[in-house]
Amino acid sequence: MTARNTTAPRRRNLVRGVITGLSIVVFGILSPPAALAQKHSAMLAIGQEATPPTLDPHFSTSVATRNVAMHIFEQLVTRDENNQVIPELADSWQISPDQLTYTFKIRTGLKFHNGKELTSADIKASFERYQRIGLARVTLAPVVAMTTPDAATFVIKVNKPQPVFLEELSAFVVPIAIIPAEQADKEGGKLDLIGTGPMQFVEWVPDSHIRLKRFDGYKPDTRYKGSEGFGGRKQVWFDTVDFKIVKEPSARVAGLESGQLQIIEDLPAESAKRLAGNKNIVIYDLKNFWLHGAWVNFARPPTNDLRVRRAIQIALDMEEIMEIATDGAYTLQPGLQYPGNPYYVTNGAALYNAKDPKKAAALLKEAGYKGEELVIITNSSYQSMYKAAQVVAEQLKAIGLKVRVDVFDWGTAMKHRRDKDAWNLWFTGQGTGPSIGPFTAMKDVVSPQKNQFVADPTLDGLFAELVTGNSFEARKATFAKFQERVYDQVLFLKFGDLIRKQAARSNVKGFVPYRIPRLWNVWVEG
Amino acid sequence: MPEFILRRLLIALPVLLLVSLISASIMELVPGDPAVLIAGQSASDAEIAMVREQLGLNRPFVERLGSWYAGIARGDLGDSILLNRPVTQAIAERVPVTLALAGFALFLTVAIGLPCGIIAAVRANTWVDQAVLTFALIGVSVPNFWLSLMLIVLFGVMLDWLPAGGYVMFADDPVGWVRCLILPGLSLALLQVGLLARISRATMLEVLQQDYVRTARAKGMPMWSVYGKHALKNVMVPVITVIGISCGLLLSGSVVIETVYSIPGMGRLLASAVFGRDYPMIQGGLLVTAAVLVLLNLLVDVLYALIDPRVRYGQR
Repeated sequence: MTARNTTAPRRRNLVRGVITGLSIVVFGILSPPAALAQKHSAMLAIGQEATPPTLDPHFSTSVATRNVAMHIFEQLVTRDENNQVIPELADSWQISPDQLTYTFKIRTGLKFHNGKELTSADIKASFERYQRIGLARVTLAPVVAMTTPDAATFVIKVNKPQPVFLEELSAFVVPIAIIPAEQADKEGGKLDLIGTGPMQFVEWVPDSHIRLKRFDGYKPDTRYKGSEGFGGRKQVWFDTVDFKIVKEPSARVAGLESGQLQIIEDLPAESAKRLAGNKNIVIYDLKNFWLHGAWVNFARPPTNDLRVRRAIQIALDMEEIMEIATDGAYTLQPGLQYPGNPYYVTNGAALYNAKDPKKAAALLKEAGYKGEELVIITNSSYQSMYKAAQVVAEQLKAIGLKVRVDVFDWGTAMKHRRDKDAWNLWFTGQGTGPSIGPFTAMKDVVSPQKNQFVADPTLDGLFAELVTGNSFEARKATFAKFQERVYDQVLFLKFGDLIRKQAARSNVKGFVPYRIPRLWNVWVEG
Repeated sequence: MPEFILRRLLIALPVLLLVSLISASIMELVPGDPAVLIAGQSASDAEIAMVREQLGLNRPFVERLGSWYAGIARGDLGDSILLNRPVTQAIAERVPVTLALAGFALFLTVAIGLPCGIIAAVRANTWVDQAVLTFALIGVSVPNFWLSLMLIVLFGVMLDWLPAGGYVMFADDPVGWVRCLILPGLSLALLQVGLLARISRATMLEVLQQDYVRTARAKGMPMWSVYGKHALKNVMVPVITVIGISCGLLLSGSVVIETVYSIPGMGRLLASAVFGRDYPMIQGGLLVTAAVLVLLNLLVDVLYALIDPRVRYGQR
């Protein structure tokens, strides 16, 4: 409480009048200078591993959707390279002293791909559609009113102070993409793909490719010097960009080697070793792409007993699991956030990677384990999850647990996750959640989601404390308590962080790996 | 003959009805639905329910199936959940691709498999025969998935002669279209080449031992005439049966090949639909596939009659 009280006046001063202009200038100065040799090319082809379920950004949580949609659409506010909130279509914002009113000034002179000028009415309509069908519409739950006093002003009123509201608005798991107001009545998945982004939609031949072309009416954001997360100054150096859907990893690699593809996402670690000496190819390590782990079910024996959960937790050898699951592309650390993220803490580390099977076996005996079957659900769609489950199963059998591994395709595994009687450990990879802050990461174990099926009032209380924490320090302290609780109660078994490898032809310049490949400010030399 | 064709077409209707009913029921029984996949792994029950409502999946199964059948009566197979377009349009875009691939593979199968089998029979128990048998054994043994990858590495990457994957339309680039089909066509055809070579060899050997062949030889007919006119015609009946079966296998085999070579055909469309639980797409796709197979079987039966004068349909 002390921290909250002492920092509150400072925050109020900050939000009362300070617009983000200063930070923009700072970011602009700190951004690497744009290279000089950029030139236009006719086409760029990127190999993508999955078909998007839809390109409607409000109606998908899929990475495959974001890969494409983030080039077509933009947000009011977004995140920079270091996960800080920055304006995108917003010129600036102001938060009222009572923290109930957010007034956004919109950049002027911006156009949609259909030639229409962006106004605050489009922003409002986009938010309204998101409230209606957005998969993360809970973000806008505190909103009580939205108004547009003029064409360049958008005002949001919330029901009570929401210190993390801007962080939520700028999240991009399901981005609040801005669409023309005329599109706002479209049902989920039925959107015409018209945005304000630097590329515009041309065609989607399912399972073959999605073609975008440069939007000639795009007005780069001159407040920045280069890319900043999904924001910043964006310039497209290609007439068209093809997102080729190449599901088979070997075929993706072959496409890159033969030059049919200039960039590929998800290069298999084994192929990366082979291509390491190839002068025509540059391999990029995208650290912390996935947090590998398993959800733990508190409702089904034997994991309804904390002692059994603890035995499982301390038995696991994370190095062995991650080495086999990822072919060596991993890092080990206990945090539920990634090192470098503002909310990164190491609470609970003593219980991470304990690899003490003897102690685990003794604990199991003490718990009076009677040989109940421990059911692991994993999937064949993501090989690293499948392999991790095999290793975990062997490690747990070694301490005396009777283990059954059920392998399904991703869709079936997802369906079973909702069934509290179907599993004890459910294998997953947490992607964007941990990368954009603690709020998304926490939602999985607090009500109403509670993946463990049994509500934990302590966690629910911590979540409420987190979203109302008035200072960053207070919120970080809360998140530290949350992480400690996750380890203490064994809500989630974290194995490690997966490094995703991306690769490009060596004549592709300006490519900076990010969670979603960004194809602006990228060009081909020669 | 026309009566026979008409009768077979009428019989096909209940077959197709049954196929659609079974496919719809199986997909209903398979756990998981598109709403769960679209909502994502962090979605709550309420969020999944909202997506389900948006997609119209909250209606009872019987009601959804009923309206789907009502749509078929109007020539409408419904809208794909994941592709945001009518199922008929999605299929119409994909069928030509798969037919081109399967047709090209069939051409290779017949052009390579049949002569190989016949030559092996004519030169039975020589090194030529052994070579053909070995080639056929390799053909039926090598998984086409592995073969595809090897062909991509050799011709797509190392030699850089052919594209490593992808597809271009014939209308856009005829030469590119052929180049795109060579590697997938070969990968798809090799198994069938092996099968056809073995079947045609065995049949030819049997035919060559028949009295009429011996008689033809005895009366001094040229060998090409004996093989070409007398023997080959009799070999064709079982061979056409095998080709008919091969057509079905080529169509189903295209699922793997289209995935490896990133070809947007029917196989890949159906595989994606199954993994994404796109019910209308699965039902529509299977219905069309079943109809194609029914028509293929009919075509094979008609060809029997054309080749073998002993076969007469509709005569009692």
